[in-house]
Amino acid sequence: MPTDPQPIPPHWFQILLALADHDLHGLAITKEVFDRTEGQLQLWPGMLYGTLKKMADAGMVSETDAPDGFASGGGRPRHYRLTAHGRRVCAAEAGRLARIVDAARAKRLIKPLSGGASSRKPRTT
Amino acid sequence: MRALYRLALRAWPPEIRRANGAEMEDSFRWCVDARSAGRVWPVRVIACLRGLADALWFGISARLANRAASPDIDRLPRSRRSFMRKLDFVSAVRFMRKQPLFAAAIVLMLALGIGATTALFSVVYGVLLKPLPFPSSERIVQVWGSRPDRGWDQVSLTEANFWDLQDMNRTFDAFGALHGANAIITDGSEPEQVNAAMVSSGFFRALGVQPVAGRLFIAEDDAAGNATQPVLLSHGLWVRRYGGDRGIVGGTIMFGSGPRTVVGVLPAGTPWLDRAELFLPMVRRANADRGSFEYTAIGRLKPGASFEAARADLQSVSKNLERLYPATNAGLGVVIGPSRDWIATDDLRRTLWILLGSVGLLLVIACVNVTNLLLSRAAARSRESAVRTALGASRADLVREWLMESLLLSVVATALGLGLAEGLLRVMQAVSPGDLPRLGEVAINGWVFAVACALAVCVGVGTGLVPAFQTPMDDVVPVLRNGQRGMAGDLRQTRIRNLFVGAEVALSLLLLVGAGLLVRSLSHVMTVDRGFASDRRLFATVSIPASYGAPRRSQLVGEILSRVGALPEVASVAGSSGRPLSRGSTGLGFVAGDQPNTDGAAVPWATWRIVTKNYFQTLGVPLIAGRGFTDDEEVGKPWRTIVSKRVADLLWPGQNPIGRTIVLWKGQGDNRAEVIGVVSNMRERGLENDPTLAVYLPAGRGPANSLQLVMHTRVRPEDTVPALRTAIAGIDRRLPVSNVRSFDDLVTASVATRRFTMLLLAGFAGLALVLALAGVYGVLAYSVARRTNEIGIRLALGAAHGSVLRLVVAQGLRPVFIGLVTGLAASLWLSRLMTSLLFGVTAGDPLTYGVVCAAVTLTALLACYLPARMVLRVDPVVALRND
Repeated sequence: MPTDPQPIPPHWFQILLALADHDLHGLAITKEVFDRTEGQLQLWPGMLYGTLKKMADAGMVSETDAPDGFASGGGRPRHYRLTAHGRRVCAAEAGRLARIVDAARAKRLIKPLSGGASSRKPRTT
Repeated sequence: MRALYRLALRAWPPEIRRANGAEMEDSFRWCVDARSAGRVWPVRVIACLRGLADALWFGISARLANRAASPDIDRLPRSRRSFMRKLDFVSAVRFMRKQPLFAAAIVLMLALGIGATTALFSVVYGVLLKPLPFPSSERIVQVWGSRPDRGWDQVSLTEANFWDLQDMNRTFDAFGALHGANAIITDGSEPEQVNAAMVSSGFFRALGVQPVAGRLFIAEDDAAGNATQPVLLSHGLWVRRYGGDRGIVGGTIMFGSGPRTVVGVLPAGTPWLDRAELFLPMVRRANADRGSFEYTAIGRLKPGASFEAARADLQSVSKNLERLYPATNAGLGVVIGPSRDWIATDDLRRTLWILLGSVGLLLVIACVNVTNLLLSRAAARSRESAVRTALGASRADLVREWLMESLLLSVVATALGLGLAEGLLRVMQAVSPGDLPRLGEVAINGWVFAVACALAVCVGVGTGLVPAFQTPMDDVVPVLRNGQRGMAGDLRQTRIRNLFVGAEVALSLLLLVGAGLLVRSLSHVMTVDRGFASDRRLFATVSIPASYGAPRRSQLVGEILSRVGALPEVASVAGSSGRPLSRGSTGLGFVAGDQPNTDGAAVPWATWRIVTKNYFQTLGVPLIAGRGFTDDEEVGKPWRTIVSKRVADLLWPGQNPIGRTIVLWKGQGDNRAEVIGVVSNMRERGLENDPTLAVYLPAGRGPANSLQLVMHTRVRPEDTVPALRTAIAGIDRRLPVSNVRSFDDLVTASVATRRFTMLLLAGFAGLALVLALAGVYGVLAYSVARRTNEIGIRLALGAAHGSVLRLVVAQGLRPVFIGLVTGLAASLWLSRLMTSLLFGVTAGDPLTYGVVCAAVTLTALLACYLPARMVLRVDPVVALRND
């Protein structure tokens, strides 16, 4: 079994998570993260593109062209796609967080899951 | 803002910028919108700053990461990275300790700029931007009447119309009115007259306030015949007179008119809650008046009801009233205004923004000065930088070190500046004119702190970047060889410094012109023909309890006038129904009696006063024609009047007004009065306003509830007060004497805001001039020091000291003159903004501009001469040997 990747900062995780099920361009990532965190995490463009650059250097994401027919105000912005490595890192981080949540649950800090194993399935949106 | 953001994006590596620039701009806009949607504009500004900082920070990081060849700190292990940052910090601290004077000068300049800006911003925030102390204040509106055919665009409501609007509207949750009143509290040692107000029960509900103790007025309190006689205490009176004792609720207070029960205590707050010291219920009378416009009304909109819906609703009610009461309500409409206009008038807004702008200019000047100082330091350290570059330091390393230094300086300066701001605020509160609303509540709060921090970062980065990018990178060889930088770099630096000096001079000229215009305005205001004499004049209000009958009151007035007039200190005494320069005056419409009937047309509006025989003589107002009043004349018995010259000129230009008939209270009472005299004009509504149209009626021996005494004293007016109080107490112990002010005091108070603005702006301008001159001095001193060598050669070759001196001074003055010309042009353009604050001078007043230019030129000459004198001490032999 390969060793788990190192923990990553929360905003890295959020970006990877946003890209987990579809390719997105920068602003779409910002919006998705903003909505999912209910405004708690706002990815300002500098931070976003700085991080995307580092992720690309680390082989977690790759740049792709915009899908056909996609148009926005700024022309055809670059889209980003999760690589296999990125997916591993993201999953590892999610697992790590899940273990922490389980620990908290075991200590009865939050309500136990009601629906049993079925609700443990990763949610796809 | 987009342009600024694009500029910030320049910090990014070009390939990222090219690929993602447009998308980043979009994201930036989206993020700013997400942050600030539906919030006040400072939130938006801070969001923009946050976005800019983000773009700069990550852009620079990305650039650093791109430099594979340089020792890139972002790729270093964490411990090593923090070590290098620490190294930058240590070197910055070391620099401050090594050159304490230099660092102190920088910190002091920045602290002055940041402190003054922060203080002014806190005032602007506290006075203009801070929300009102009422929940959902955007739903509160003020309601006025209007009568377009008479040119009334905002008048108070009449009593009956208020009740009708309250009953018939459909868009308001609560609706209330306020009417000024007086009350005399008679428990305690001395009777005290307090400022009171009658409010309907809806008033405080519309404001949405909660009582500190007890309850507010309820609907039953509006009803006639209520036996409880309730009263609400303002927070101020509660603390002042009753020591903040909650036990007072439920107790009774004795008034001149009888006992009343305290039902509650209001919280403190501006506006309205501090409008009166105690509040009485406004009892609904069956025969409510429809003719007198005296009731201030406010309303709280129902949730979801729009401003326009409320306007339409009230207008339809008012149309109904026009149909129901054609005699009184014909032509009367209703207008509403938002509550945000309650605090600041347009003039005040403008004044404060101008002051904030000025202080911002001062900060810019301070920053330019500091940048100049840092530049000279950069030049002095050019060899060190060159050595580091040669050893492999990247520009990023050098820039980081510079930024660390300038940020450290600006952070220290901001800390000091916040202290300064606090002090400046205290001073402003102490000398404040008193009519700057909410100034007393202004404090350094979170918002102000955030702005100060933003300033610190901007100033730190701004002042640090210029010298950082002036450090030589490409041509280090000549620097290493000569110990000096290359000629090209030197020339470029000189240009930048001269540009800075020019900018400083231009900006300080701008401030000086502004201050100069205000000084001239104030002197015009103080010397304008007022129409009255204010020296050795004293005003006092004597209140006569309403429980005294009319004959007793009129007898008291006569007794007071004769007793006070008999005092040895008093040369002459008179009574009137109102005092000049006070807010709120009584008005009436008038036309000439012989004018053809023009019902419905706009009529001129005059202030009216009921005055006793000696009024004009006591105030030093000359009688121009006709005669004065006698003791036997009373209002309406028969109707006789004295008018001001403006009224006479308006009605009967070029004719003799004596004996003519004037119609007073046109459209309301239509009283025809004979003009028996004309007095010269007075500026009763303030020295800056045009002389008032005024109509005077005789007081005779008529009864009065509240008597404004005016005395012409033989000694200092303040010295008359004890004798006055004794004399009145000798007549009746229950007559309170209040509001005792000398007329000079009233005049000073009426121009206090103007004086305050002028002092502040003059202070800023003076500081700006000092800073600018320090800049001129510094640049020239530096240049002379650098050119000692060259000067030595010139002297050795036979140049006279005098000609070299002239050369140096001329060189120093060149940027000053460029700054003067630019500053003049900018002032001519920008001073238009001040037009509404000026009095008696135009925005392009040649005298002001001339004096300011001369002052700047002379002081700049001095600032150039001092360093240039160093030339005289240059010994060519020493200068050449030292090379």
